[in-house]
Amino acid sequence: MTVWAVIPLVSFLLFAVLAILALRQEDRRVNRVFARFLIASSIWSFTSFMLHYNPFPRYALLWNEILAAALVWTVVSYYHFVRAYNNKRGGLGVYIGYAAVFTVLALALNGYIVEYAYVVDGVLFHELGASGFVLGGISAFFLISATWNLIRRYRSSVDPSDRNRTMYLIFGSVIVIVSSYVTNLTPAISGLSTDHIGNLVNALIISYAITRYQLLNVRFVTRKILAYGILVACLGGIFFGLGIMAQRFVPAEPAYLRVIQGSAVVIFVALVARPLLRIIEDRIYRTFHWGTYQYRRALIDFRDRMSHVIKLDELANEMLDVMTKALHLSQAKLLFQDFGSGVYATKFSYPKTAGNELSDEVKFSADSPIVNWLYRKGEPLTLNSVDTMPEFKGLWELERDQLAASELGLLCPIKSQDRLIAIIALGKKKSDGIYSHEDLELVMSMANQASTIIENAQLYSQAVIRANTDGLTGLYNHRHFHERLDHEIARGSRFGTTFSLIMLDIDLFKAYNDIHGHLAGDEILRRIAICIETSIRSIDIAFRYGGEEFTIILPEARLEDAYKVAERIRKTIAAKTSSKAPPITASLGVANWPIDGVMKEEIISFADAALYRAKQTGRNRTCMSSDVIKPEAPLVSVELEARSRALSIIYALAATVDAKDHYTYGHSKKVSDYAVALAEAMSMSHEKIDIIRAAGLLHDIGKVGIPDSILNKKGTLNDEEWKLIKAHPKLGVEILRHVIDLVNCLPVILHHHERFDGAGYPSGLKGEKIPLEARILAAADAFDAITSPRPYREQLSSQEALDELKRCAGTQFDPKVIEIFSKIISPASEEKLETKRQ
Amino acid sequence: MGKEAELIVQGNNEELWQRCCGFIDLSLEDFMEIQERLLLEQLEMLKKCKLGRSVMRGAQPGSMAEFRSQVSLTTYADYEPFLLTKNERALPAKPLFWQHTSGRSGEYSFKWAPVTARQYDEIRSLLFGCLAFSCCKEKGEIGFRWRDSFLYALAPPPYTTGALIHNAPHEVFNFLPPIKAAENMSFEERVQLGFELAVTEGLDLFFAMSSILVAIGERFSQRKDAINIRPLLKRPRVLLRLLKGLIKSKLARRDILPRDIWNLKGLVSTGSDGAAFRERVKDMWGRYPLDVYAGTEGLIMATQTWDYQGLTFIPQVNFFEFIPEEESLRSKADPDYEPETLLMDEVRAGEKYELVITSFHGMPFIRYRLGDMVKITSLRNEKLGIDIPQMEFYGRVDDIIDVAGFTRLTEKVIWQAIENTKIPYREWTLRKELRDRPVLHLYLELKKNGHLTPDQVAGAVHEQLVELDPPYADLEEFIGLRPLEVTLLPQNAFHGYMAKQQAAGADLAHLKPPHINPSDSMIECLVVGVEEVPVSATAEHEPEAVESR
Repeated sequence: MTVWAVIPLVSFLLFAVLAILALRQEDRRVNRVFARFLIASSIWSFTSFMLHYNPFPRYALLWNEILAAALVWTVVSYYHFVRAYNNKRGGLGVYIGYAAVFTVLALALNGYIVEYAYVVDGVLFHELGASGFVLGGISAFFLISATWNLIRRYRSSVDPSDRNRTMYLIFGSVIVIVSSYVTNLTPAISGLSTDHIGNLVNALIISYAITRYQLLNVRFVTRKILAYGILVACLGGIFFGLGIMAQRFVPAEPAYLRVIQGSAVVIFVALVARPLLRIIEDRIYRTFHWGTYQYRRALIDFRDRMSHVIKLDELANEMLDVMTKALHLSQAKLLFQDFGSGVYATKFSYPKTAGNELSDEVKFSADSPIVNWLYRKGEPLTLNSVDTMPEFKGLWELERDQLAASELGLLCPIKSQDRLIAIIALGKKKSDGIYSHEDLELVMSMANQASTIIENAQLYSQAVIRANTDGLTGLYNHRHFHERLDHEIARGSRFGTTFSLIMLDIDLFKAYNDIHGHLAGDEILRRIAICIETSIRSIDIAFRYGGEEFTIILPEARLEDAYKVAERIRKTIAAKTSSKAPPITASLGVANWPIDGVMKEEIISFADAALYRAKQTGRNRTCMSSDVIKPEAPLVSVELEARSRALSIIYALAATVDAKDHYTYGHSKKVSDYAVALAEAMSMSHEKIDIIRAAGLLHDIGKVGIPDSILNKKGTLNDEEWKLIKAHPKLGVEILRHVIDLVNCLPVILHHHERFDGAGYPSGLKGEKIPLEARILAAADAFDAITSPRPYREQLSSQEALDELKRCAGTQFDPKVIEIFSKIISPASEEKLETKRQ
Repeated sequence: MGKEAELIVQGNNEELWQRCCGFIDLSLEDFMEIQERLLLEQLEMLKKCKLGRSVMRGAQPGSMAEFRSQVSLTTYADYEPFLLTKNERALPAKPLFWQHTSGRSGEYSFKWAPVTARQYDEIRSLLFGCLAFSCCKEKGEIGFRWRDSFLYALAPPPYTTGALIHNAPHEVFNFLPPIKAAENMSFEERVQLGFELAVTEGLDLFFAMSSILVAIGERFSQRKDAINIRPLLKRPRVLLRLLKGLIKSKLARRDILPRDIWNLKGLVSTGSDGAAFRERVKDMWGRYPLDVYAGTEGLIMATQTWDYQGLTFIPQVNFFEFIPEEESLRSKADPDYEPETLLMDEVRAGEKYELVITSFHGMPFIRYRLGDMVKITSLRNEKLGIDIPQMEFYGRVDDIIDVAGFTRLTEKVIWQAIENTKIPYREWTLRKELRDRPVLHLYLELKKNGHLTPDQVAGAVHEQLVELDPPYADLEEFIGLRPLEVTLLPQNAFHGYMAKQQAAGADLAHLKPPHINPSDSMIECLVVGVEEVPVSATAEHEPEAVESR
């Protein structure tokens, strides 16, 4: 058997196998038609094999005649396959083609096509005559038509995968066309059946193209084939060149010298091969990508060193820059999900030009079909498909308009741990507007690499935020305040800029906490934080300094400007306080760097002093550092004025209570005195004593809301009546809560009926949880009640009352308080007390 | 040139299929996602317009669940102040054009409805999609081509079908006759001219109501006048086509049929009686018509695919809700009752439902009761791998009977016709039955002195219907359909039925069967089960039973 027969034999066997495989998947029309093409091709190869192998010499002419018809059949069925691939029916062309097959067969069998055919020593001698041109013409027509159909599809398609697949088929068609005419036009290889080789290659390409959905990038394959082809040619040239040179210039007679020469040439070629391949590949890559070569190289380089990038902004800026240039794009963006709203919004954009603002608005809601698709598929989405694919029918018109206005061309998901963590949004390509398969692969590989980095960067950034953030308010914390202050001072020193500092303290916050509990206090802190954030400029930074104190750094703000911001914050806080809730106000102090000092401690100290002054001058106000250095006198007078105003209110209210209940007339005053005496004996501060004094006077103010019939009832109270009586501490707080000067008294009034064992009212507080002032007041209140006449029981002496208090110490009263009380309520002391009271 | 036309020119069949027919590849989950998203978009538009605020009675639903719980079901009466006056400022979006119903529709001479530009874009795509389904043998195949000859036997604009064709991209097909030229022609003239052109230029695609397809086919085969060969000699292609048809018919030893002359690529039909005419159309035209479920308010709602079985719902035009049959009947008996609705992913195969739609893309209809009863034939199309529930049109829910898309008979018209015959009757009920053709089946109980045969009664009532309702007269004249059949019920059939109902504890509203569209069980009871019930029990109800309506 000759090599001329081997080629068609191998082709036949391979075609037969392919045909069997294709027939097994004939559910798709394109597969069925492809199977027919393979059957035709296998028959064509078989007849060619029989002709060249020629087992029965007298049938050579018959095989050649069948061969002619089989050739036309193969070409027509290939054309038919291309029609099916393009989702078109066979059409008139296919009918004509199959008719031509039968016509050729009939003519051939009647001797009109092949004039003679015989084989001598394995070499075929045959003559087709003029009809050969007819055969060639028919074949050329269908082959060129098929190729043209494929080119049209390639040009009209906007789907990169489809274009890549179609490119394979075009490539196959061209191979068939070229290989079909190589044998005929190259006398040296006449009879070698390159047409079979070409057809076989085409069939393999098609098999690959229609069975594999994701094909290797055809440009990549082409480049590789080209590179290795050139490499082989170069190495062959080098090998032969060196061999000839060695023979000419270094005559080597002994055989061992020839072996050495040959070995040297082989080693040289082997050493040269690898670097040569690199050079060739680089040159081919450069040729394929022309203008964008440098950028593509930069992009690939960046991809290779991406893993060393930690910061998100560094990654984003460099990646977008290099992608835009390498892929020749109009723009590129990186979208991240906002954890609050779930919206994917542009966080980084390239280029950052003035005209880019509108397209910067690209965002997708969390339930957008586009987001769902990117999450589900995890592959790039060309924006052309959005208009076509049914999955996107749910897009709103507004979303479609925004998408159209964004001038985007491609979206690529960045997924990590089954989450869509970001989206790369790329603009349209400046050249032909269509992304190639190679572009998609490059973008996808970038996205895959970026996912880990983004995930890490996000975790890092979240950790940094957590470390610098106050968990309760969401503002930056004390530690970060000092860092930022150092940073601002450094910046100011370097660039000669200024900045201001505001310190804010919530007025009477402790009292609020005592009355309403710490949970309510936490809520107030959160609300104040929101008020601050909504009142400051975007460049200002707010911190929770500690407790109920906040600070705000205002970069590049003068003292007067900062004062305006501080006033805005103060007013917002006051305004946001509901009329039903207890009034919340804040005092603020403002200082400026470098006016109030260049050291960190100095500016904090000045701001603190200004805040203190605001507190001293009546709270709910803003003071600047410049106010602090004013003389003390006005401060004292303001303070005194404030105190006398408060006292006048207290006495007026106390008179109201006493007027209500004749039996308790003077009770408030006495309780106040006993309590103050107790507080003094316990060495409490002046402020606390003032609070106790006022609370003692007003502790029963809630009784104004209780009917006289109950207050003056002689018999025992029923449950309903007790319920009303027990409400009086809360009622008292309700009455007094709007008087800002008395806010400190409220916890004392509220809890003066709590019992030390927790059985009291209204909150059932126990032990130390009851404010000390309230425990003092409870003892004083009980003592005066026992020693005063009441409609419902007999009056007792001071000693009897003290005994009663001692008996109840540890259950109703704080034992420590009773212990001190028993010391101060000696007859002599009581007398002194009475004198003092009068 | 529209996007679809561009794709046809480019030969980009894959994208064309995706765009126009791709919805059949959606999963039910995807279908529901599209429905919900577009509903939310529509709600945003409705909240901002007068019509929306009025029809939703101030409700501001923000989700699908809120929408279904806060907004009541509606009928055309809710839209009358806005739509009959064509108050465009009150609508959610500016209309591209207005259209109205074909045939008589009970209380309104015309039901006007707007079509917005975006909705029309969807409909245009779907029209191409229906054509593609009609022309293909497998998924992805686009069987029609640029400038294929397209014959349309549809009502003129502003009737819905006519309006859609009027706005279709004219350049894509060779419309027979050209749309502009046909605007001033009568229906008859247009169809006549269309056919003449089809004979000379060929015919690839045909879009018509099923009844018209049959009528034209029958008229075609009944043409007994010999063909004058002489003028055709100048036009060999026409001659060839006619000769081919003649030879085919002679070989088959029957009259010539349209399928002998034309080898249609696609045949699309609308109309409520598609199922009844299906086989006859196939026999005449050589292929089954692709049935499309469409209407003035909902536009294209469902379509058959290339297996010509159940119709697949379309997700992007309307939001669908389904009232189960029992709920529908209950609300029919008690107009104040607000029936429960189900969603597409809650329906069950084999069940019948009254269809409720909320139109998308700025169209006005909100939880609108179409009055159509549909049957869910299966939850998916196993053969073609379609995961969307499949349906077929079952009938009207309200007191209207649509016959072959030609006429809509109301209870009033039928009653008037019976009265006009002067035949002494006690009670009657009538429903449409689908056999090989639509049949109007009148069940009539004569008074004791009535001695008439069913044929006599049918003849008399038919005459009166022809008098009273001209479109009914067209049925016989144009498509040769005489749909009325009469069954004379035994004496006291209605009384027996009522007694049975009373014995079963039915309330007063359910004692009598309805005049229009009684159920199978009602008819069974009227025809067969009367002997079981003593007549005397209900004799005193007789006068009111008839006259109280």
